This record gives sequence, C-alpha cells and structure tokens, in this order.
Amino acid sequence: MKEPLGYLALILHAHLPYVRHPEYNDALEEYWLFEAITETYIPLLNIFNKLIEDGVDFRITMSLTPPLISMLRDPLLQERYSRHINKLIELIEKEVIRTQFEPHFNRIAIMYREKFYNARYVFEEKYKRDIVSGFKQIQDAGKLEIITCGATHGFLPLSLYKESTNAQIKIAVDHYIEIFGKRPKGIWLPECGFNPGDDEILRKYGIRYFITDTHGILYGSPRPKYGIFAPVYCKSRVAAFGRDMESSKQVWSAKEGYPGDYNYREFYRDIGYDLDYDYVRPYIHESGIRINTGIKYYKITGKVDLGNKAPYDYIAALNKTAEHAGNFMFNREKQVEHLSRLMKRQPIIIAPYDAELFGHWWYEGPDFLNYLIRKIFYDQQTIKLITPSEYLEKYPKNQVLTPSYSSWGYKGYAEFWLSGENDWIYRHLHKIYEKMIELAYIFKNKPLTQVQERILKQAAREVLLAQSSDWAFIMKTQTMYEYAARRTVNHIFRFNKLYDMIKSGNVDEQYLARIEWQDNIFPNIDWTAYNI
Amino acid sequence: MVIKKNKKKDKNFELEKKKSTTKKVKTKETQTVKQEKITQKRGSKKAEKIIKEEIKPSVTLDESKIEATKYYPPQMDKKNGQKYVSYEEKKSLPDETLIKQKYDDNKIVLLVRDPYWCYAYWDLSGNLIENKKKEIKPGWGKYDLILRIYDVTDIIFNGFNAHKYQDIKISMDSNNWYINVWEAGRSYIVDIGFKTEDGHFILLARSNVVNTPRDRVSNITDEEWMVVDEDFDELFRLSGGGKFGSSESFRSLLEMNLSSENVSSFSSPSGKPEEKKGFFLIADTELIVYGATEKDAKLKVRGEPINLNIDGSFSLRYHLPNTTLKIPIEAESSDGKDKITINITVERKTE
Repeated sequence: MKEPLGYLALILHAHLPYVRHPEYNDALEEYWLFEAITETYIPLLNIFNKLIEDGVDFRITMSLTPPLISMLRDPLLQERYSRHINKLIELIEKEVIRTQFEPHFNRIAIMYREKFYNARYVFEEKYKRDIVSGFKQIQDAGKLEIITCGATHGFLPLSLYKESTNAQIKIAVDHYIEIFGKRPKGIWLPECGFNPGDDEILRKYGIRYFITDTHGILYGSPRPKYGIFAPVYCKSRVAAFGRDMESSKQVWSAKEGYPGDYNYREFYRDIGYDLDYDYVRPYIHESGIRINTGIKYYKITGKVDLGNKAPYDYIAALNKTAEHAGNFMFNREKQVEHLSRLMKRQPIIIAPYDAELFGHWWYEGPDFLNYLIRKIFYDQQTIKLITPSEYLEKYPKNQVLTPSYSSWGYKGYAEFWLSGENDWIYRHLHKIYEKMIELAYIFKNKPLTQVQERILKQAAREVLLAQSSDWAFIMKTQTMYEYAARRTVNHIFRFNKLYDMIKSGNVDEQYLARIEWQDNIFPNIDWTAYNI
Repeated sequence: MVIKKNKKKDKNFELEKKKSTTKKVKTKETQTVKQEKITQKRGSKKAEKIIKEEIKPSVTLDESKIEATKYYPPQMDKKNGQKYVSYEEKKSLPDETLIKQKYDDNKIVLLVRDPYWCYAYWDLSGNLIENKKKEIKPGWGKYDLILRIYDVTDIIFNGFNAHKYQDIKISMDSNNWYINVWEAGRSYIVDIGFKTEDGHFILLARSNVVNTPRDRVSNITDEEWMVVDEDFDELFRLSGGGKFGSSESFRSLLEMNLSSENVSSFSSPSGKPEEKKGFFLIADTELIVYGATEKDAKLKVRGEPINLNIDGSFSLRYHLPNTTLKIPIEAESSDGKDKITINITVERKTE
C-alpha cells in the first residue's frame, strides 16, 4: 500500500463508575455494567477478533478505565453477569415463542436470541469470564492500544490539590501495569479535563500523550501552527492531541448525527415497560419496578410519539450503517486531501467517542465501526488508521505549546460538574483530600501495624471513590440524583471514620472489614501517592 | 425499628434540604450577579462586550445527554404509581449519610468554571467572625460582607498590587458564590471580608490563585519545536521515573503547604418519550396455550417441538394480533405408538 495522505485515530473511551454492591442482591446500578457488556464490550471484541481473522489490518485506541477493568475482573460481578445473561436467554426464548404470529417481531427476537447466546459463549467459554483478557489479546496482536484514565475518573481541573491529581494518575498507572504488564503510553483525561501543569504529573509516570478537546489545543499558547491536525508537546515533553469537531459531530449529534437515522433502533421502547406486568415480572428488578431488559422491537421511525413507532428491521438498519460508514470515510478522505495541501506533513484526525455510545445508545454502532474499518482497509488509499503513539513515532518533532484549560463537557469547561445541582460536594471533597494528604505525610515514614496499613489503604480508596466525576455528572443530569448524592456522602463518611480511627488509635476492625468488603477497588493501592 | 425509620427519614430530609439550600443561594446570587453586570456595563463598554461575546461551545448538550443514557434510571410507572425505592428505605444497613456541614477552617477556595465565571466557597468560624467584628471601629459606619476579586495576572500578589479589583456584596448567610470575572485568560484571587461604609476592609480569608482559560486563539505566534522520540523512555528513567511502586525519588521534601438541562427522560433522537395526556385506553391481547401429556411424551405445537415441564405440563404465551390462527397441538408417546392431535382455531378482531 502506498503512503496515505493522512491518518485517522479512532479513540473509544470505555468507562463506568464503580457500582459494585455486594450488600444488595440485585443492585440496579450494576445493570449499567451488564448492559454495556452485552451491547458494547462483547460486540466490540467480536468485531476486532473477526477483523483479525479476516486479515484486515486496523488500529484503534481504547481507554479502559480502572473502575471498569476492576468491575470486569471482579468475581462477584462476573457471577452476577452470568446470572443476568442466563435470565435474558430465558426471556428471549419465551419471546421467540410469544411473537410467532408476527414475523416482523419474531425476526428481531431471533436476532436477540443469537446475540445473547453469543454473549454468554464469549463471556463464559471464550474468555472464562474475564473479558479484559480479550482486550489484552487484541492489544498484544498490535491492533489495539489500550490507554489508561484517572484512577476513578476524577475531574482533575477541580481537584484543587496537586497531590490528589497525582494520586488519580499514579494509582491508575500502577493498576494498568498490574493488569497489562507494561506502562500505558497514553491517557484519556477524565472528561478530557485538562488543567495546565497536570502534564508534569503525567510525565512523571511515563505517560507520553493525552487527548484534549479542540479548544484545548486551539486556544493554547503560542498559537498551534497545524491546529488540531498534528499533536503538540507541552513543555513537560508530553504530547497532546486535539479532538476533531467535524468527525465528532457526525456521530455525536442527536439531530444531524448518524444515530438519529429513522432506521436505527429506538432506545426508549423496551419490553420491560411495554409488556404485561406478570409476564415480565421475573426479568425486571427484584423490587418489581420495571426496567429496561435490552429487548427492543421498534425503530426510531420518525418524529412520532413513542407509541407510534414502527417495528425495527435489523437488515435495513445494517444497510444504513454500511452507508453511514461509507459517508464517514468519504468525509475523512476529503478532509485529509484538503489538509494535506495545507500542511507539510501527513495530518492526523482524532475522532474520540464514548465507547458505550456504540451498542448501548447507538445499537448499530459496533456494526458501523466494523464497516468503517473494513472500508478503510479495502476501498481507498487516502487515509489509514493509526494510534497516537504510532503517529508520535513517525513524527517525533512537534510544536511546543501550553494547551488551555478545557474539557469535552457541555460548553467545554467545568460547568457540568460545577453548577447549582452539584457544587455543594466540593467543600467536602477538598476537605477529605486535605486530610488524606495529611495522613500520607504523617504515616509515610513511620513503621506501621497491619491494621494501620489497612486503614490507610481503605482511606485512600474512599477518597478516590468519592472523587468519581460520575456522581457530579449524574446529579447534574438529575437521572439518579439520590444515588449519586448518597455515593458521594457515603465515601466521605467512611473516609472520616477511618481518619478518626487512625488518628485516635481506636480501631473498629469490624467496620474496617465491612467497608473493605464493600469498597474493594485497588487491592494493592499505594496510599503514599498522596504524598509528593 | 420505628426509631430507626424516623432517623432515616430525617437523613433523607437532610439530603433534600441540602439540595434546596443550594438552590436558594443560587437564586440570590443570580440577582446580585445581574447587578454586577449592570455596574460593569456602566463602568466600561469593553467589559460588556466581553460578556456578550459568548464562546461557541464546541460541545453540545447532545453528548452529555447521550452519555447520561449510561445511567438510565428506571422510569416512573404512572399507571401503577410505582417508584424506584432507594435501598436505604428497605434494607437495614447502617446509615452513612450524615456528614458535617461545616468545618470552621476559615478558608475560602476559588475554582474556575469557565473563562468568565469562577466559583468561590468558604467556611468561616463563628469565632473568627466575632473577633474580626471587634476590629471595626465605631466611627467606620455600617458594614457588609463582601467578596473582593482581584486581577493578579503575572503578579506576586501582596494584597495591594492587583491590576484591579471589584467588590461584590453578599448576604451574611451565604457560603458560596459564582463570580462573573472581567476577562478570560487572567489570574484571580478573591478575599472575603467586611467592608465598612467609609471604605475600611477587614480581611477574613484569602483564596488560592486561579488562572482562567483564554476564550480565543492566542496572539503569540512564535513557534518552538521539539523532538521527543524513543529516548523519552531513557530520559524518563534517568530523571528517576523508573521506580514505580516506591517512588521515593519523586517525593520532594514535604511541604504541607496546600495552597496551592434536565435529562432524566430526555429526548430520543426523534422526540420526547411519550407523555400520557389525561384519559387514555390501551388494550391488547395475548394467547396462552396450555395443557399436559405424559411426562416422557414428545409434544409439537404448530410443528415446533416444545420442552415439557417435569410434570408433563406445558404453557405457551403468544402475542395475539388481529388474525385467525390455527394451532395444531400434537403429542406422541415415547414409544411412538400413540399419537393425539388437537386443533385449536382462534380469531381476534378489533373494532
């Protein structure tokens, strides 16, 4: 293949907050994980594996966040996913029978049946319940670059203390090394939240690049010569890549974007809500509240009420994804042709998305990626897929500038995480960062008893869990306000209790053991990361 | 049990209360902010221009909305009035939601929200306030609690050398404020204190410095280029970066100086989830075909083999559209000698 005119870096950010609840039998929040496994992570793995099998060369970059990896590797959640997928299979078997007199629904039920059985096979047999190992294999095959993220997805521009940013990065990098056996080359800053100076911390832990939103680079200083179509170096020698707006919009926008096409599956019509209560009762939440099952029979249809949606046609939808993949590729080719006339080198287009957008929100999203990757490989020679680190190897000389404070959140800064709905959390969060920094300072050079060590580790876990940007995000969207507020307050409460224990010497070992069991993320956490 | 329940209610109330207090504060604050804007407008036309010149958000609400589907909550079932009941209400786990609301650490913290807005929160002890009030001399007149925001861009601030500052009168019982700052890409510090009628200022607390982001492309066009290549790793190691897990070399000698749209049911791509308007009727039909045969018999319904329950019974549930259906049910004994077929015809008409 001849040299392409430019490169495209597809970046998928896979993340869910740590929502493991051993204290409940059927925690609703755990369904976030289960749905993402069935609809996003397994379909992506299937696609990557099939591409390798078919000899299609490709590159893709994915951030798998530490909380997500930890949940995917957790035996309790694995057991619960197994239970979940088995129940779904039981339900879909009934659905295949129930819809027999309506071929247009029956076809869809049969499609789901295939997919659910496949999900169970991939989960149970192929990867022996550890699907992170699936991603690792694709990384080892040289097709996927897995990057890390903040330890618990803390929004760094609001972390106030360098130490707390340091802990988010160091503990994430340690965790990555534990799982993948090497240092991560890149990082997805949580919500792309960048605060000038944080790059120094990234450098300290050997991270070579991060992704910012467009204006992070564009408003950087000095002015970026190549805009966002080439990386830049911070003074710390860490590279920053800027998001391309055009390719983002085509996928993200609910109105103009591909996922809004009328042929695609409607997210909001689910048999968990649509069918007779007694019939679906065994498959919804144990409390009896109706929830999404993931079985949805309708397509977006048009600007009609939810009640007037037409039956979904998977084949028609697949044809659409092929068409959309072709369109996306065509636009990138044109973009690169244009850019390459303006630049003295091959431009790179950074196209980052939430991984869960593909499959969970946009049901056909994984098929879109599949078609896109194949088309890029077979149908043209203008662009080629690349990872950011490969691009840096090719072009090690880049402009030096300081990127601007920015995020990829609503309006581009911190507003989504700092507004009337959630601003009350920061005085408490900052207080526990302060106290944790104090503990790390006091105890770092002291000989510790086993219990003291356990308390310090658990205290650091609680701080990190409280810091997840997801809680502020959920409070802002008002989707599960109560839950998010409770999680924030619970971790602060637990931290304070541990702080008092270690300071006073009055240890409640039973309590300690209970929260170690509940909040069990990062077994080997380095609490001294709060001391720099 | 009863006591516990009551306690919990209180705590839930706490959470609720917290929410509403914040909202209250916010309303007040918007009012004041509006006043501020007016003074600014009078003060300088430039400031007005900057405020009006909204940056074009590169990021739309769509992304946040789509991201929020990851946390899609169960929807309220209006028909049955069911609501998702939070765990604490039904499980007997220890309640861990009561936290201190005040730390009395006499601190004010400033955070950057975007190029034009900063957020300040503070926590002042009653002691400090009483002591500082004593410093106000009788002849100084009445006093207000104010925030004084300083532009300290490229300055080592000593309290008096700011490029400029502005006072914002705030209510005595507030504990946080959104501050509209003059210009993007600058550095700010905020003081909280009493200001008397004749202009004396008694400082209660001073914040950290923040740098707001630029809202446009930089004017600086000097280019500097750098090569970072494979030797990065070597350089990294030489700088002491290889020692993970015991990053002693990184720990500098320790300074404890620490200064340093409602989407709950947002629209799908094609419109909002349907809201039921007043009176309505929904009706549909399902068909249940059931029966029993010998435990080890082979059963076929509409030609499809069906697995029997352990006791030989079966039950099949179908959606029943407007149509006429023939349902042959065929049982065959395990030795193949006996065979019985029952033919059922069902018709649904909707008028």
